[in-house]
Amino acid sequence: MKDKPKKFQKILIANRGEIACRVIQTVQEMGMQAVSIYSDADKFAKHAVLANESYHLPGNKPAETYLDIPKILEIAKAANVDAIHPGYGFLSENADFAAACQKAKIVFIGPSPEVIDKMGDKLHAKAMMDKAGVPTVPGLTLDAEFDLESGFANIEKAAEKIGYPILVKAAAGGGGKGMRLVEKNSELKGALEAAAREAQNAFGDARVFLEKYIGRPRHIEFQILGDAHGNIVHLFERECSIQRRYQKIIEESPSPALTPELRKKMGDAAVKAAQAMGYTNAGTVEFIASGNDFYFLEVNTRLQVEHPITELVTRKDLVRLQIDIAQGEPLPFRQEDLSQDGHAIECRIYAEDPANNFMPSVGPMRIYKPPQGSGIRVDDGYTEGYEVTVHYDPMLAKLICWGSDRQAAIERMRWALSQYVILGFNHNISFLRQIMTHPAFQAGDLHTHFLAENKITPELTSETSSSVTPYLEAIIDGLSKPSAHRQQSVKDITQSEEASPWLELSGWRGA
Amino acid sequence: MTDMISELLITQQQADAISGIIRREGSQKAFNAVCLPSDSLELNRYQIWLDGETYILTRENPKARRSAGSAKAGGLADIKAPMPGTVLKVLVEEGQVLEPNQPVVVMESMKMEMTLSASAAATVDAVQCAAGQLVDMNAVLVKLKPV
Repeated sequence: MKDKPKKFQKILIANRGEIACRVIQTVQEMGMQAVSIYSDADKFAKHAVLANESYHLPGNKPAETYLDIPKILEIAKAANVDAIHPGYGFLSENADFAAACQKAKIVFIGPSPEVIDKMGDKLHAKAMMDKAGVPTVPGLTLDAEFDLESGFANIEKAAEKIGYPILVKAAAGGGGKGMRLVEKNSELKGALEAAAREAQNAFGDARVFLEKYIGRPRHIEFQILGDAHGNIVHLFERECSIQRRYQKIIEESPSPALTPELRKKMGDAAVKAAQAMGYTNAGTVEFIASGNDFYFLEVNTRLQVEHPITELVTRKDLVRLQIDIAQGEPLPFRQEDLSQDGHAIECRIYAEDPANNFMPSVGPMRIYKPPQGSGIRVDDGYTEGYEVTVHYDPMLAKLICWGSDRQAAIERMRWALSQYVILGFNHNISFLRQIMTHPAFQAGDLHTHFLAENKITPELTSETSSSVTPYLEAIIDGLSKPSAHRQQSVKDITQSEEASPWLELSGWRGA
Repeated sequence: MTDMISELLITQQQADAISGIIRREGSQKAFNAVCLPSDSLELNRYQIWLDGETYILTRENPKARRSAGSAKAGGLADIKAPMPGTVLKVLVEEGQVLEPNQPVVVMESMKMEMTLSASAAATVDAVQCAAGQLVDMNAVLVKLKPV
């Protein structure tokens, strides 16, 4: 820590997809070289193309590519990088990786391995927060080597004590992976097995724990930043209550639920939590809130997926701040310098079929036209022509809109979603629009069971309106005719006398 | 580190994808349209973005000859992989009698687990997959026959 701050020349981004692209942008803006890594399936992916240098990790399994610490460090050394940015997911919350970077004299852009280790284990994190006086949810810790066959009776007893419904969660987890809701005793064993298996697959750690389930909670998290000089601030909250399968799909900042008093109280608790850990770099303190009560949930020791909404309302570049902090620089502002300006909403665009239980969808992205315009930001990891594969998370992009207030942000989001063209497989864009127009969403009455409780199920957009049908039939006609006849077919349909240049249909992306 | 082999990825040479503008009754609307892969030779599937909405439509393929008996009688569907992925567990054996909604196979795809269940009462005719096996979309994992 006492070393003279070293300016980075080159940063390796140990990730893929939209977050790798997002980090590369700031790295290059700062005049540094960005180094990317890519698996077989990602050979032509956007992040591999965007970086100044890209290196191949043979294979497609995460364990032999984006999770392979020795291989990644070998590349980092060969490419002579000063620092590694882990993004989110993959190795971002892996203390061994942070420690291995340290050992290899490469700066890990994130908190210390000790902090990651403590917070990555939700059980330790909870105990630590209890001690620091931050409120936590009642639950049950399972021993590191609990045996489901011999030890189940004890688990069952303890679960009765906490009271159903109960959540089973992966100790090393995140993003809803390995999480199960257990309504009654008879479901407990199966849920424990499935959660442990999923946790083992996703994180290489099968430990799980039980937690009391709180009905109709809001998920509200605070962005924190700490520098190497002991300064810690929060950059306000993000409300992430709209979830499907325990995974966030819409986030916003500020939260419509927080009064200035509650915001201050939670912000102070987040800073207190960060101080108790000796936190450095960017992190997120997650709470569940119900009325005026809030409980510590976990700390994410990394940049969050939904960080852009904080960037838009605070007008700060979190990746730039992360890099500056990692270079040893002090935070350029104090708590009282920070404020929230306007309102930002993020929608996660997934390759999935909302009408079929959100089943992931794959295939080539045949036509891709993200929306553009005032107050619209798209963070994506794919470009037209690339294949969405089964190997990775089905999140394609994030659409983030800023407005002067919540209503303006919602209206802008609705417009931007309508202008977002993704063709080639199923996606959730229409579903997101449906949520944006729902009265309960507009009223800000959010909680984590919002979709189920409001019975928001995807409307099938097929030939519903007869006014659209002639257009669709004409387009299908144009699609099935050989290209030489396309202009003619359009002329037939439109009854147009003369051919004007804009009438010409193009098999290529429109100018 | 230099690789002497050149590789091209052509991203915009698409036979069955079009973008453009359609004019009808005096107004213009932008559109984008693609043919989607279809399970059946008799049906064409289209995905169309038109003026802010995305539609998925199915049309009979005029070129396809009708092939009789492609669907199984009685609506008893075999257990097929809804997604490419890995088989985690096979929960049934050949000859076993299944109740409606009984779980048959657990699969994993895109880091998500899913349980495939029998749609109706059935007898397991043949198990055509094993735990750990990578399977393609629509691969028949377990063949079923009426009880």
